[in-house]
Amino acid sequence: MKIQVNGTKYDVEIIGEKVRINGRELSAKFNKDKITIDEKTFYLDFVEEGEPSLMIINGMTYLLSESSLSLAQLKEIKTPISGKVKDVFAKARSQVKEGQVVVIIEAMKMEIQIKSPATGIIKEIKASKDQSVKTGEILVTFE
Amino acid sequence: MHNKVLIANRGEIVIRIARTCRKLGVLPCGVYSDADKDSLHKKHCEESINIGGSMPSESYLRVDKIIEAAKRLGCDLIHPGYGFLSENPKFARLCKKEGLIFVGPSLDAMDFSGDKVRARKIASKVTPIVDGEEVSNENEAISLAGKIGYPVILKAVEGGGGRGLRIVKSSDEISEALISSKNEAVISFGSDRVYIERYIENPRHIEVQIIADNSEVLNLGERECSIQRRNQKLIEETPSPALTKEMRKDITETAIAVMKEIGYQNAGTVEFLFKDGKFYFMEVNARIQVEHPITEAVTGVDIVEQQLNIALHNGLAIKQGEIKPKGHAIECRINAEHPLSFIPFAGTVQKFIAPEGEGIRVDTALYSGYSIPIFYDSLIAKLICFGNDRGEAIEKMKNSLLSFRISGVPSTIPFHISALNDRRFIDGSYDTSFINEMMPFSSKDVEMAAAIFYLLPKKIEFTKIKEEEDTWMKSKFDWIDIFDIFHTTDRWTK
Repeated sequence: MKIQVNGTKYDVEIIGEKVRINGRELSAKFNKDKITIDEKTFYLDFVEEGEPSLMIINGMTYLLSESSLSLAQLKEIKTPISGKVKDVFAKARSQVKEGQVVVIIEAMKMEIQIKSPATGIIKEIKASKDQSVKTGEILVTFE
Repeated sequence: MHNKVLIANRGEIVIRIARTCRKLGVLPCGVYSDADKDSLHKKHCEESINIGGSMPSESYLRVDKIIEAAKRLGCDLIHPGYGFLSENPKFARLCKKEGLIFVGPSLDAMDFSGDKVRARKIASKVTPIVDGEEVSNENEAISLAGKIGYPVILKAVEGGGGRGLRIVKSSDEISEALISSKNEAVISFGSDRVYIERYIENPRHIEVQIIADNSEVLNLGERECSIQRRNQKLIEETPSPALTKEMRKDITETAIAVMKEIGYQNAGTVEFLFKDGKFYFMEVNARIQVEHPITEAVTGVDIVEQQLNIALHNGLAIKQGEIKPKGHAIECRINAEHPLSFIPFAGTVQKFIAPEGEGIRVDTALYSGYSIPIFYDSLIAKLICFGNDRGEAIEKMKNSLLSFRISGVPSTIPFHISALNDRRFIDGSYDTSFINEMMPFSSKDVEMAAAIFYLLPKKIEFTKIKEEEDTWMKSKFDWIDIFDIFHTTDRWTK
């Protein structure tokens, strides 16, 4: 996944107990608010979701956003978390814009907004209100 | 001494004052509001009394309740700290009437510092001031501004803290600015008096710390306070990198002259604007200031001790010749604020780990698990670093900031790290415009870590996770399992 951090793009992937950053594989340990990459420890002190998201790590500010996907890449939206579908805001054959909230999932006593990562036409809505979904399940597909 | 002092304030300044009280054998007592039931300052007081509601107007600003608390606790002194009632002459007057010693300047001096137009008039006998005068209506304002020359600045006569300030660039804007300035002044200070001054663009703010008793006025050197947001200071240092030896002599002697002119006693500060090698008197702050620790760090003088000595008529325990500032000190104000927008933020502090070491001082009332109330100032800690020279102090501050952990709420720590790495700070050439042109400071290593944190599911609503939810999550999920699912799916799409 391509993520922009303070203006620099990183290609990042988590593979079990390893991470791949810009093609380089490094060992990593994850904890609640702490990760250790190649013996270096980083503390996450604060997060604010948004476009861009804000993180305070080791006392410094980082602004993060996902690099926009092209329409060609966009096939479906999956839920990042297990929970209950609280609401669905999109309709089949309608257009959604990048950043638009498509589904709300209730998990951990919180509502999590699932936004569309790109502008596109929805083909099918797979999730319905009050349905339980598991991490990775497809919520909507695109034309 | 067997005195008892009521510290009529909250948070870190109470703890700081209580420390000196204990050193001198004076018993510190405290007050607290409903919102401050769990404030650390209570624990540093011998006894403390709840004085009411969470709003400052229901508690810390209630003159009657504070005086009643002092009497109930058998206190003979009241130390007001900073903010709240510290510069309120009515409060000081009532203390006197009730037989309580107010640890602060005389009533005359308080009246003087509270009326900026009067202060300007008296101070102008001994110090340069910026051209300006009080105005009562639009015609007066237009004629005066024309005489002074635009841009001009409107200020509240009985105000402070940036409220009522309006910068006016031309005569078209003056009418509207006058109305809004007067409105804001009434709401904030209960007086609509305003005055006009020539506007000095991007000056430096330099202030001189004074301590005085009835026979002598001493200076403890200056403080550079130009790094501000919303006209409130964020970083202070002493000595100021802007002053030459001659200028320092000039500005400190002027400050002494101002304080002599008004017969000031106790600890106080004379603030100046400084631009192109010239300084102009701005105002007198008749209280202990937030940034006093940097002066203590370079002079070795305990300012609160001097305040108590002066209030008890024991006089100053030191002489000007004995005050020999050495080294360099910097203070960073850690506020519970968004590090980019400076919007205040209340919440629960999950982890609080303060830096320690030689020459490092942290004045704070924070602890892990403390919920920052929404009713008060966003200042949560003051980090003060001392070095033998400016470079050493900066390095020590940078390291201290990097090892300072406050999690769960955003803080100004990232701002300070960026500021201390800014070229203008390093070479000391900054002025009050500093914050407008600042770049965030980041490190490549941590950028990568940030990208990984971004992929992890727990980034969802970090601060809102309460203890029960935390336990619930721990029992339901094995984190590594989640990562396994994640790496196969990507967060949103393939």
